[in-house]
Amino acid sequence: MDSIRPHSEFLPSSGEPYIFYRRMLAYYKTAENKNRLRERFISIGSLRIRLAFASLELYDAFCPALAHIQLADSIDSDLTIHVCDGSTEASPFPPPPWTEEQIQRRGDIAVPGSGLRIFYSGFIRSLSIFCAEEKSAVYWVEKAADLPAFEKAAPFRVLLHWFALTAGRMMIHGAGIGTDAGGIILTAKGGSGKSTTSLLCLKAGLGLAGDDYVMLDTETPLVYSVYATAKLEPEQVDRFFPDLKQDIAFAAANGEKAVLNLNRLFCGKILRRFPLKAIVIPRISEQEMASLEPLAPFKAVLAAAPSTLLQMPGAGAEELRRMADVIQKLPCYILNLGRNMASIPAVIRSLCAA
Amino acid sequence: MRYRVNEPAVAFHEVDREIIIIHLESGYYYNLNAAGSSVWKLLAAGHEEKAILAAADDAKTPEKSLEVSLREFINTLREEDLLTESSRDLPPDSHAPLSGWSDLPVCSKFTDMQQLLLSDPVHDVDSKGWPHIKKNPE
Repeated sequence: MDSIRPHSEFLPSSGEPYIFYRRMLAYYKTAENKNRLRERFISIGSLRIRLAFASLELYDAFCPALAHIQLADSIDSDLTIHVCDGSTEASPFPPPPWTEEQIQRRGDIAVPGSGLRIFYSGFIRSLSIFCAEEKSAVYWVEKAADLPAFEKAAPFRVLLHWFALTAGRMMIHGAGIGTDAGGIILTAKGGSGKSTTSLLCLKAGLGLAGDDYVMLDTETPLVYSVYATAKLEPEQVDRFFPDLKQDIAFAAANGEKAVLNLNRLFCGKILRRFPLKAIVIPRISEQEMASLEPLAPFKAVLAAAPSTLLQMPGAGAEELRRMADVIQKLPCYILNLGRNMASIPAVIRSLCAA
Repeated sequence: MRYRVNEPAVAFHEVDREIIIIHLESGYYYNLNAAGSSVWKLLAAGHEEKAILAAADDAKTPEKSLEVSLREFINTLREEDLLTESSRDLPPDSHAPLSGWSDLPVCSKFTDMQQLLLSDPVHDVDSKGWPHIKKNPE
């Protein structure tokens, strides 16, 4: 089992932000007493996490994406995430100890020296607080019924990223495709063909560790599955995967992508982990057949790192260094997505076997 | 004039002698070629701008406009908010150790990820107070 290593940003908890965190735990406890506790235990490799839900709606919304890493029995956990929503009228929401100026561009809240990491999403109206010292976190959302599909497809990803940092890992924006013997991370900004490629590979018999986010141990390097979901534009479902249309878990609404539950559709093909063999950047091309082009490591970092860092609140120099260190150790490629989409899986399979 | 990297808004890392920079507040990201990376490292280490320009006089390049290019390059780094002025109290710096100069410094800017930051988390609260947000903020 990996040891949980200290991280320089995680200091002993103190000050007003810590008092706020304790009040949020009390807020959660009130909700748990009112609504009844529902527990789930998940494992991401050796990392064991207890999910304590004080909201049935959130339990139902988040558990499907994590069903493939769910444990049958309760275990001693490395982290407990306390999950509640704003329906607990009996308990007033604690006043925040920070000002609006402390809320950063990506929603992380600057509370230096507190020992906490805090993220507020104004779009979802959710709050995530991580306390490494106590191996504890709080996830709160104002209205569970208003959760967008992308949040249900990848729950707790900011908390899991902060937790991962304490264990030499990080969340990566990318798809993990391969076999138990090895695989690739396919990474690029949205709309580059990641999800379509992932599903084509799944249907061709390859395994998948994640369509949009995976956890990467940057030292080994091993890729771990966190979410068994895939997000697709509705027209992509119609065009490439009409047979999957009836299996959409969360329908697209308000311009969102549709979410597929891969654990149900491709049972046995969801990889819990695999050794990382290559970094691949997809590019839509006019070629007939899919093909690979070697890519210089600095170009791979340039293509891969911004989408992970810009979507992850609080991510910065540490994450960039870790990504660059991993990428420089691996072969990197451009994957030209040819018009003959059936040719893509064989190209990726050749990298996994290398 | 001395500068410092605008951290933590800016993250950077050197890969294959090229610096990759991500501005985490604007959503823009940048690539400095090898010559630009040499200048960046000198500026980030606190060397004075005039000392770097003086070193450029001695550097050998096939171009004659090295000093002009260098001034433009440093101005770009400032305008893009990648560097800020520093008041660090360091000893006088008459000649920066600029070496391996074979090209003009270039800063390439990429804007295709900015939409990831368009949903601004700074919010208007409603009458119930934080964290409840106005349904239709003005």
